[in-house]
Amino acid sequence: MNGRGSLLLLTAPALVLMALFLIGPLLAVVALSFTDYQLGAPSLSFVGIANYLEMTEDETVRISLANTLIYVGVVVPVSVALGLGAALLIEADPSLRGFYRAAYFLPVMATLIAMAIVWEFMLDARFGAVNMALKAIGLGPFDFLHDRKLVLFTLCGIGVWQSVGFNMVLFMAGLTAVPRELYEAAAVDGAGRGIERFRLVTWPMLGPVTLFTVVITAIRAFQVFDTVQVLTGGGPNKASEVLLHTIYAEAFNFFRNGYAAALVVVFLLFIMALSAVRLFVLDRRESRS
Amino acid sequence: MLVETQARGAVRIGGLAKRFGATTVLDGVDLDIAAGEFVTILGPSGCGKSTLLRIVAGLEVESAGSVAIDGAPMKGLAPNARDIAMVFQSYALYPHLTVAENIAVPLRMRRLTPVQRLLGLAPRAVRESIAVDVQSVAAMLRIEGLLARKPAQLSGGQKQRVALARAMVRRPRVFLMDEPLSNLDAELRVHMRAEIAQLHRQLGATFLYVTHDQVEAMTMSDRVAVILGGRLQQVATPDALYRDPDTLAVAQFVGTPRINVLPGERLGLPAAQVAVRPERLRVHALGPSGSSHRLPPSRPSFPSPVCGGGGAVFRDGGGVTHDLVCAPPPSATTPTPPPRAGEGGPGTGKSPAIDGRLVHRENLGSDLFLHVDVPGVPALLIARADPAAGEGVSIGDTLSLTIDPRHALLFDANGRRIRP
Repeated sequence: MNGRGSLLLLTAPALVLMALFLIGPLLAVVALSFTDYQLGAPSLSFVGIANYLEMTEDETVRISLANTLIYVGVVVPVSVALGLGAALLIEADPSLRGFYRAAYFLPVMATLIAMAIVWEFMLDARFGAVNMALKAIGLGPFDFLHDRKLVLFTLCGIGVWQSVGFNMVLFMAGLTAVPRELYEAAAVDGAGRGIERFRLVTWPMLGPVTLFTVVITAIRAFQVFDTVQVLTGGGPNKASEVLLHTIYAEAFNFFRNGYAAALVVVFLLFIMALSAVRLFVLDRRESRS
Repeated sequence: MLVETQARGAVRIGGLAKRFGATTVLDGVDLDIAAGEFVTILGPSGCGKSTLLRIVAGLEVESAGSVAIDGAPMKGLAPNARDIAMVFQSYALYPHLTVAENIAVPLRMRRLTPVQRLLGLAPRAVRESIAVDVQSVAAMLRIEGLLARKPAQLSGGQKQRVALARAMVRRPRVFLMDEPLSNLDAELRVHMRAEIAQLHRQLGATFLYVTHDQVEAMTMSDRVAVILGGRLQQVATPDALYRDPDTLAVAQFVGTPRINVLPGERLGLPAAQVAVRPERLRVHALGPSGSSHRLPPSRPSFPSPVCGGGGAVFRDGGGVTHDLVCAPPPSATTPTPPPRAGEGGPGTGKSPAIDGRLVHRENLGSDLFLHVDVPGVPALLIARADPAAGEGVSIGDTLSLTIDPRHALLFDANGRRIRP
C-alpha cells in the first residue's frame, strides 16, 4: 500500500465520524441560518442574510451579547487569578494539600443546576446566608438575583466559584511540570523566594498552561447557560440575558429556528476565534523552540 | 582572613550527616578542600554525593555537621549568600530568557534593587557594567555569537557553556557542579572535560565536582573523594586512588573494567602464601620451562601477591586461616598462551594460573577484555589481552589466566585493605 492510500485509509474512520457528527450538523446550522425555518413548519424558504440583518437591530441580542462579554470579562481574569493563587498556596505547603485540592475542586464536580438551587437559597434577600452574613457586618440586604444592577455580577460570582477549582487543578499540573533545578538555579542566582522567584521561574514556566486555562475558561464562560436558566431566566428585564440563553429562547420558546441558527453561527465565531488565538500562539511558540 | 585575596574558597566539611526520615543519606562526612583545589566527589547513583553538593550549596539543610567556606560557617545561609555558583545536570537555563539575559541574572540580582528589577529600570552605569561582564565571560567561553538566542535554539554543548558562563559571571569563590557532562554525547564529554579543567586553571577558584563517571574524576581532579552508601571511603589523588585503594569497595568502583575478586584464604605457614577458595578451584603455576605444575586440588595456593614471591608478610599466630579477598586488576590478569602454541611464557615465572571458560569478549581496539567464568568464583574474571593475541580464542574456550601477584591487592573479610 502506498503512503497516500494508507493515509486515507487510516484517517477515514475519524474523518467519517467528524463529517457525520460535527461538520454535517454545523453546515446544516449554517444553511438554516439563511432560512426562515420554524420548528414543525412544513416548509421553509431562503431569506438570504435577513436573519443576520435582523440581529443587528435586535435589542435583546445586543444586550445579551454585551452581558455575555461582561460575564466573560469578569469570570476569566478573576477565576484564572484565583485558581493560580490557590494552586500556589496549596503547592507551597504540603499539609492538608489533599483536603484543599478536593475542597476547591468540589464545585467543578457538582452539578451546576443542583448547585444553582443552593445558591438561590443562599442569595435570598431575606433568609439567605449571604445576606445574613453581610448584615452581621452592617451591610445589605442586597437582592442579588433580582436587582438589575447586581444580577449579572451575582452570576459572575457563581461562575468564578465554579471555575476556580478547575483552573487550580490545571495550574497545579503546570506547577509540577516546572523543573526543580530551575528553582534551585534561581535560588543560587539570588531569586530564591517570593515575587522574584515567581517572576523569574514560575510565571514564565506557566505561560502555556495560563494560555490554555484562559482560553478554556473563556470558552466555558461564553457558554454560560444553566445558572441563568435556573436562577434568573435572563431577568429582571433582560439584565442577565446571555447569548446561549437568547438562542435557547428563540429556538425553543419562540420556535424561530432559522433566527436561532444565525445566532448560533455568531456564537460559534466567537468560540472559534478563541480557539484560533490559542492555536496561533502555541504554534508560534513551538516553531520557535 | 589574611589570605583571602589570594586563596578564596577553602571548604571545610565536618561530620556532615543527612537523614530523610529513617533513611540516612550521608553519614559523618569529613572533607577539607583547599582553596583553588579541584575535588571530585565520585560515587554511584544514590550514594549521597549530590546531596552533599546540595548541602554545600545551601539547597538542602544538613541533619548534623557543618560546612564552612573560608572559615565562615554557612549554617542557615541562603544559597546566594554563600558566594557559590552551581552548574546543574540539566543546565537549568531560564527558557524564556536569551543567553545574554540568562548570564545576566546573577548580576541583576546583585547589582539592582528589587524595585529597579520590578519596574525594569536600571541605571545606565549598572546596565553597562552588567553588559560588559556578560560580554567578557561570553568571550571566555566563546559563546558571543549565541547571546541573542534562546536556550531552546542551542545544542547540548552550547547550553552547557551558557550554564558555565552564568556560574562564572559573578566570580564566586566555589563552583559546584552536579554531573554537568552526563547529558552530553561521548565525544563532547571528552572535549568539555578538557575545557572545564582548563577553566579551573584559568579561574583559580575552588571546584567541587560531582560525578558517577570515574573517567571524569580521574582525568580532571586534583583529588577524588569516593562516597559509597553515604560514607566517605577515601580521598586521594586519582593515581593513589587507583593504585592504592583503602577498601575493596573503592577498588571495585574505581578502574575500568572492574577489578577482579577472588575469595581467598591466608596460609599461615611457612612463607606467606595466599590460597584461593574454594578448594575445588584448579590453580596451577607455570614453571620456567612452561610446564604446568598442578597443585593439589585441596590446597590451591600461590605466593602472597603483596610480596610477589614468598617473603613473609602475614604473621599468623598458629597457622589460623582468615578469610580474605585477593583482587588482581584486569591488567594484571592475562590469559596464558596455550601450552601447545609454543614454548610458553618464560617471564611468567611462578605466577599462578586459573582455568575458566570464556563467556564474553570485549574488543576496545587497544585492549581486548576477556570475561571468564571460573567455577567456584562468584563474579566473572576479566582478563586483559592483546587484541592480536586474542584472535585465536572464541567463546566457550577454556582459558588459563595468569595473575601477576605484584599488582594484586589483598583485602580482609570486611573489605579493608591489607597492606604489606
